[in-house]
Amino acid sequence: MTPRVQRLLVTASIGVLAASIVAGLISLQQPAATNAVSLASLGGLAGILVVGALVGVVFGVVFSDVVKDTAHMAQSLAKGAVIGVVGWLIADFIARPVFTQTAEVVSREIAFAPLLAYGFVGVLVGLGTHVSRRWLAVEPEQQLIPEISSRVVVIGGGYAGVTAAQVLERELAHDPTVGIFLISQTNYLVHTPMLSEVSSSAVNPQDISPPLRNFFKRVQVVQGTVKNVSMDGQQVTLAADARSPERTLAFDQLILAPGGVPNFFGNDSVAKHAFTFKSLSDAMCLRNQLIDCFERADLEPDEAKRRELLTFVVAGGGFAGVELIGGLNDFARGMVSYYPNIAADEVSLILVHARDQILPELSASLGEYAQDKLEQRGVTFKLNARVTGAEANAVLIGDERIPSRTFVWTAGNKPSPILETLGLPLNKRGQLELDTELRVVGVPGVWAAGDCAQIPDLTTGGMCPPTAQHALREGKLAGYNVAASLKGKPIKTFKYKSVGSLASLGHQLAVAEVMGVRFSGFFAWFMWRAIYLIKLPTFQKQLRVGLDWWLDVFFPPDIVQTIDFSNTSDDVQVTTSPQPIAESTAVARSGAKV
Amino acid sequence: MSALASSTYQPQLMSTTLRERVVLGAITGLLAGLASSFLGQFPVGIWVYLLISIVLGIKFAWGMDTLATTPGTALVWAQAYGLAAWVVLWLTLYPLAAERRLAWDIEAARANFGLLLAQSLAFGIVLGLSYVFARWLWRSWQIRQAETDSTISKTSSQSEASSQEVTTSPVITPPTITPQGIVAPRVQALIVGGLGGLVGSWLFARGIQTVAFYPLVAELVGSEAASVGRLLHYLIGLIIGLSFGFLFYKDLRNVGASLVWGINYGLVWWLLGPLTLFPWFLGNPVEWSLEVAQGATQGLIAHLLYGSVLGFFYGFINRIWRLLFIDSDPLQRSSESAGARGAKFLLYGQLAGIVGGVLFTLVTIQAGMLRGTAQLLGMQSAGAGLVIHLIVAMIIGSSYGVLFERRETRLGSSIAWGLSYGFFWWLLGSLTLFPAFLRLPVDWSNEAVSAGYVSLVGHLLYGLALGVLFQVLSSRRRPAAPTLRGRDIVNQRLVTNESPASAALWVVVILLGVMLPLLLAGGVVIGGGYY
Repeated sequence: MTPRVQRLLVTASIGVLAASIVAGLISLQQPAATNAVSLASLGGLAGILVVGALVGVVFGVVFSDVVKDTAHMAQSLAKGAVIGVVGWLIADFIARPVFTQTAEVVSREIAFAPLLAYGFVGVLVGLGTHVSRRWLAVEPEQQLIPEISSRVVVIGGGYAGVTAAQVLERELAHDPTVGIFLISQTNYLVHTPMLSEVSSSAVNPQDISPPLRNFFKRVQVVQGTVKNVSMDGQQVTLAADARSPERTLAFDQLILAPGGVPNFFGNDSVAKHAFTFKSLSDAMCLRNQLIDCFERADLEPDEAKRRELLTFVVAGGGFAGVELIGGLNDFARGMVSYYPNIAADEVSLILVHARDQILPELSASLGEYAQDKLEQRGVTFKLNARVTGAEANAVLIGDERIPSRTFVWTAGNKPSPILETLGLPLNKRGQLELDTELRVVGVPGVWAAGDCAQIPDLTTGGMCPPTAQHALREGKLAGYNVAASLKGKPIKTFKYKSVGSLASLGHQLAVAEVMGVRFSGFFAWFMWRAIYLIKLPTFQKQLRVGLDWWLDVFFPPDIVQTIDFSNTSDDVQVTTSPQPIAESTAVARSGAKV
Repeated sequence: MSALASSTYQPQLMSTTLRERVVLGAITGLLAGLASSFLGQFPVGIWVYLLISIVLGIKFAWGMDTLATTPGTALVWAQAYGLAAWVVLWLTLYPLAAERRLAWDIEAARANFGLLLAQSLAFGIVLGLSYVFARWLWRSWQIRQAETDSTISKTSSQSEASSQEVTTSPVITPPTITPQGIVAPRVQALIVGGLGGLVGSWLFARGIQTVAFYPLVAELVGSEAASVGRLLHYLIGLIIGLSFGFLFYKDLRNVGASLVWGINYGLVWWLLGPLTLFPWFLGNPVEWSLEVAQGATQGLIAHLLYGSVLGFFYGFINRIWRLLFIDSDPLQRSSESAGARGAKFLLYGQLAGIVGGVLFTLVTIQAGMLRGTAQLLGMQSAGAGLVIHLIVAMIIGSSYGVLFERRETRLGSSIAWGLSYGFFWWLLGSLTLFPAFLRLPVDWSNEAVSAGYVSLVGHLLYGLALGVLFQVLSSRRRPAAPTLRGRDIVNQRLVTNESPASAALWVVVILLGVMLPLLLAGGVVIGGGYY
């Protein structure tokens, strides 16, 4: 018998004793006394004893502080009186009509005596419990700090990892012996669908990245980079940064969700000169690069160099590339009015895509719509073209050389390189091979979710795509299955059919395909904002982004440059003698450059 | 004594010795007995009654000294104590000893109604306030004495130490972080309390505008002018509001709790006003009897509502104040934002409200009240009444979630606050807003209150379910361990712990809230004032 049940038995017994005392008081009365209160009006002796026992049990449950020795005696008595009133309400107004099968409410005249009687019972229960905890040695439950007997480590602070940790925290809420650890390179979760909003200055970077520590009360968040995972020793080695000492973290169950990194397909020049677009800092860098280019171009007298500064190239026509070019296009063209020496037609945004149609994940008509709309808004497309190389101030597409200081690579991703060091089964793309329960094939106690994993798609017969939508569900199931296996419960298989996809194209334009139905234009854009705002974790962030979007209606985007590239850009060459700065906006607009 | 030791000497005055408690309790018990004996009708002689009062005073001081930490807590504990004394002494032990019968039936209780007012209200109020005042006087005197002794001791030891070199290594102690508001808490309490008193007075006057109210009030100073009555009315409201802030500012943890404290304070002023000071100022005999109380039932409801408005306003302004100047302070901020917490509690309150509404329906069906509810929107069917009833229950539930916001509490506390809130909505909803929405005259008369008894039971059951479910929902995903982190623990202690007097407040509000409508029902109704 658990201490809790013992305690309730004791309080129930105290309740019966209290009811007996009250019944005794009633029976002390002269039988012939006028207006005497009778046991019959309280449902007989059995009735009052049952109510007494229930009052005792309820008191023990709801006022555990009295039992646990933290209440003053007067407080115990007063709390007992409150439970006595609750007993009166339930006994006279719910139980009595049910048991006597009468539809009438107990009259005022009759109700008063039971109110006092049950109130007395409650007070005596409070008194009895208060006294018994000290003198009858009813030991309160000890609040011991439990020892951790098993550890679950989740690697990766993206959607898959965070969701897995959340599910683990919930599923293991009543088992404090399991330690849950989440290792992440950053101390925040990036809401990746809104990264392009950051690079286009529509929302503040921190508003789309809730801190990981806000998600959890129990999970221990460890910020650091995983250096090694020993499967035999069941131990993760990590460090806060390259110069910090390495630490180890033992695990019994491991969930791998490190996500992916950009894949340059071995092209070193692209790897060296391209901006990437995977993280929050990437998005912030891009935004600042754009502003920096405009500031430099405003000062630059040489037209060719100015064009080089004002040409922005994005490689990759998938969701990331299209949303980015749409956002950058709005931001860049919106900024022109601030710079008197820059003409609108000098700004150029180019999307390079290897296929003949952008957004291949969507229907062809939506891809065409997106391309049309973006072209109308000033984006240039280079389809069926591959970036073959990059320089500090140019992008090479075969023989063609596009002068540009800003080249963004979104054309390929691959799983995190840490996977290659683990000795776990990988496919050709470097993804972990999993079964349908998200276990790494042939390695007990190791699970995976997200972009790093190849998961059989039971709905299509193929493999699950590396989308945030899937990562979230995979993380959820991985967390559940780990908890289930620790609790000895059956685990589940992963089966999820994508609801649809949405892509923003810039100002009040988007395309969407939801459950096979295609949407485009303003409605799709509204859907995009509504859905991703709801998906954005934490109410606070939702409110801030919502507010940012509303303010965006009334005020132009912020062009404050928060990152200074002057010390990092080693390619800017000052070769000409100093020249005067342009003074007239009209002159600049007319194309007559100084 | 070394120089260091004498300079850090602090007299231990915060705890009261047993002997001090007995003496203070006897004196204040006698005082409370005298104050309540003038008007109460006692079955025993005055000397016996005073003796009993002294014993009760000693017992109060003995048992509740550590709980009666502020004037507010002392007041409400003494009220609960007085109520317990009425039930135990005058309804149980005395009739059992004298007549071998219990006076638990309603007629016997009505016969002892004067004693209820005398014991629970008059005796309690005087005992609580005078005890805490007497103890404060006693401590102040002790501190003054101790400071005088300490100064003498310090001067002599300094002269001794001047010839010696005292080298003490510097010890770095972490600073005690005590963030301050922009004004002292007591000043803030008086400002907000005063404003709350004026707002409550305005609503009070609007609530009873059908009678010649202001001239009636003006009679207190021998005038018949409405302007004099108005001025006096608001002056009284200001005094009540200021005193509310002064007495209870340390005990009010959230808006909902403040509202319930306000209800109790309204009850206190009902006794002081229409039953005592008002007839006394008018030169009429002061009588604490069932008949007079029945005649002042309108005043009772008005005072309870006035108190709740005062408490609500006070709590609301304090909440805003806290949000703007205290919770927003990074030193005090919780990891869970007020906005996120509020939204969560709103949702939990709604869900709990619906379940409470269903439980309430069990009573409304028995009493056939659903058709009346349907009339709120001009409909007749019981089905429409049920839908409206549940929507209202949901709205009130969400307000419970916001007003009684707490992160960590006990199920019992939540139940007690729920019952209190149910009682408040009986006052405001059933007795006031419901007839007002139906364009019927708002009737707070003895008969109307009596007729609303079934509704009161329904409201209490609603509050019960609301409290239970809200607590269950809000603690649903709380992990087993550890539950709170660093600053949350500090914040919880600052914001969410119950006042040590909460249990007494529940007893007074819930028990008297249930008893008074039962006791005041029936009998002869005579005229009475609001004050």
